Amino acid sequence: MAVILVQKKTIFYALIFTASILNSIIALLDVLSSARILDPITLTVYIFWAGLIVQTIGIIILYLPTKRGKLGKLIDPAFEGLYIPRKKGLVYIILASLASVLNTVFYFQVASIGDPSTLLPLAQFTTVYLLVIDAILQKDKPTIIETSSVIIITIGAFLAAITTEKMDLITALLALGPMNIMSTIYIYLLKRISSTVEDNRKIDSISLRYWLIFYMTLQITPFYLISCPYEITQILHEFVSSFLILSVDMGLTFLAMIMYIRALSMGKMSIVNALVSLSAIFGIGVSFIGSWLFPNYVQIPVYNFFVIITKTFGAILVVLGVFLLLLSETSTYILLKIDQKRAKELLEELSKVNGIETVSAVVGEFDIIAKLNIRSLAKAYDILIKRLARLKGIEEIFIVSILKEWEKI
Amino acid sequence: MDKVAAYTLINVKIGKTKDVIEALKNIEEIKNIAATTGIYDIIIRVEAEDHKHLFEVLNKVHQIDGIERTTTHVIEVEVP
Repeated sequence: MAVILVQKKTIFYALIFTASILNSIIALLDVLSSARILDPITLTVYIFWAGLIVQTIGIIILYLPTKRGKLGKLIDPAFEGLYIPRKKGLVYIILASLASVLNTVFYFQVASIGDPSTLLPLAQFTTVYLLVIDAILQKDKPTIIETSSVIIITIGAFLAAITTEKMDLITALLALGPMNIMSTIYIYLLKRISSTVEDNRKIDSISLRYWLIFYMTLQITPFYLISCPYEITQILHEFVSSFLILSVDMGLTFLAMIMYIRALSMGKMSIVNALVSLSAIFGIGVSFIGSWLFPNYVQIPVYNFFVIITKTFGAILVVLGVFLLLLSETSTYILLKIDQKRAKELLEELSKVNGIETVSAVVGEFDIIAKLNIRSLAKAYDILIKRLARLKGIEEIFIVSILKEWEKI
Repeated sequence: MDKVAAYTLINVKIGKTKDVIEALKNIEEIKNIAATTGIYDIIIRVEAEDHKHLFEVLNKVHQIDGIERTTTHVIEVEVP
């Protein structure tokens, strides 16, 4: 059988690239849905119902056996069937779903502006908030390259969002404030969940997404049914009549989210999100296609020359920022000889050092092999000199820098 | 789940790195290959069913022309 070996970076960026294309199509479907169902809360409830149905079917399909185990394994190798989270994982999932419910309501409010190419870039401000969180909560100072590329990407996304129609101050503030803050909290929690280990396994992205939708639906449905002015039959009728578009929307979201969560478990959250902002560029194309297919719902503003130029500049900046990030990443193996009495503690302490991807206790010439992901040599200095050298029990450190890496998918 | 994972640190003859990497790519149990600088030239990660299987895989690695020396470190514990 042919063995596919792909560079690790390629997997990471392929996941994100595909997720961004899906995102821009999803944004179009969202705009179409919000033109159909005007109340953002009603739409949120409907879309979660549809999502739960679609994902339950999806999970059943992912259980199908293939030569290499369950079908879901091809999407996420960690998938071993639907995992039921407990303890810490469960708490994070419930909190994350609450943030996502709020984000979704604000999002649909903003989506009613009717132009995916404006909606998508506005959603990208999360990246800036994430960088700040990365810096504060994880005590991980972003490097100059990270900061400058995130700024470039954000300015780019902002320029690409410029539109001539229906954009008012309140919508813009709603997007920059509550909508992005909620999605920042949501993504931060997702990252925490994707690195939480329970019962000796990480929660796989498929199970995670399933439970998120499950709890989102659980949280908003009672609230909606109590406050809703319509009859149950009326609600059901409206839901069924718009089920097709909502289920396609949520089916694609399911796929995009799984890829996104997998990417999150591989890289830093502000970087992942910056890269997903590529969808802002695809959004321009999708806007045009959408307005051609559904002229009644998608507003394709008659862009004047300056708006087109500005949007194009914005798009170029986004791509440029993404490439800046792409080219500045390196990994290093750290081989350690240690005092065996301190082995257990050291393993623990090392795994808490920022940038360390895995720490393995090994038998052989060395005692510990750790893998470090860094964005600049100055960062390596910080980690090696300031953090590792202070740990007690390390006798010798050998650094082996990785020039190029291949990983099996 | 009694799988065995190991890191194998490899030194290769000068000029042979590319050939060795190409040969390593053909071994299915090797999950990760890194071309490195420093005291080793290549570091691979092998994932095998058990110790016997690991031995067979390493045997395949040793057959590759251009490899000068290998040091294998079986992983006992890994975080996260």
